[in-house]
Amino acid sequence: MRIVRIDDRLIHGQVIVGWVKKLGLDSLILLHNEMDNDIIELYAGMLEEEIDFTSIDISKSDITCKANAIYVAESLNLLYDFKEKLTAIKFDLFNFGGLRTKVGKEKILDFIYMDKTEMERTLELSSLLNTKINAQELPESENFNILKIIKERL
Amino acid sequence: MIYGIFAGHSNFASNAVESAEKIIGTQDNYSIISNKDLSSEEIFGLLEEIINKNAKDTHFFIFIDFYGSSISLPSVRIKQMHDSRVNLLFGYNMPMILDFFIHRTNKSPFELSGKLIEVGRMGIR
Repeated sequence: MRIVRIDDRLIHGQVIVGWVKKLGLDSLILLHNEMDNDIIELYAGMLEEEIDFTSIDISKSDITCKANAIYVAESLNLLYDFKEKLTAIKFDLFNFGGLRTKVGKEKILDFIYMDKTEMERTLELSSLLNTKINAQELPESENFNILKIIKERL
Repeated sequence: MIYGIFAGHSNFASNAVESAEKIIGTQDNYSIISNKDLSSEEIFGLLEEIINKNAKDTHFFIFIDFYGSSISLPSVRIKQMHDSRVNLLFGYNMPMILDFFIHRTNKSPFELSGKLIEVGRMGIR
């Protein structure tokens, strides 16, 4: 299982317990663009020792392929800007876990807010990644067809 | 007076404090934060707003339901900004809430912090 998740809270309870622990994932990879080392260390400190943690500055490095892993990025635009690197990895799921910043955005779901550009980019990325895509906070919570919702909005 | 900020997922904090008030009576000088549907920046903004609104209080204890929750990072940022005025306590339980309200007027922040961690651990058997 290899998941790429967009979540503007990045590494937090839902990811640490709800996804990594619940699904028995081995690795968590933080995808970022020039994030401060202090912040990365804080995130790393939130994980249990047995979880293999890696941070990748995707503006500078390629994305490492790991099995049984979840890749987390804080924004759709970050993944879109480096989509060539992202598409080098075969993911089983492209998951929208939370985009909660509301200013200038349209409500898609209770936990997903997007502007038009992000909606268009979602469709493009989905096509490029060619994998299952959903909006779902937790593996067992309601699973939304985000592509269908976005297409109805555009 | 040490001001209390109780934060957690969903209704964890409001229910926990409400339960404590059933035991020791209604309290004041505290706020509740739920992370429900909030971004990290919005959680940070809420914490900052509470501290600015209650600037008369010299010290703030922020209780966070567990280390690693979405409230953790905004809380750490607040701590970095207001270092000497803010204590962070992760993984709080009922004994800690009770002792916070009981002792916040008669102990220094340093003493109170140590006591809360002690009673929190002792409360688990």
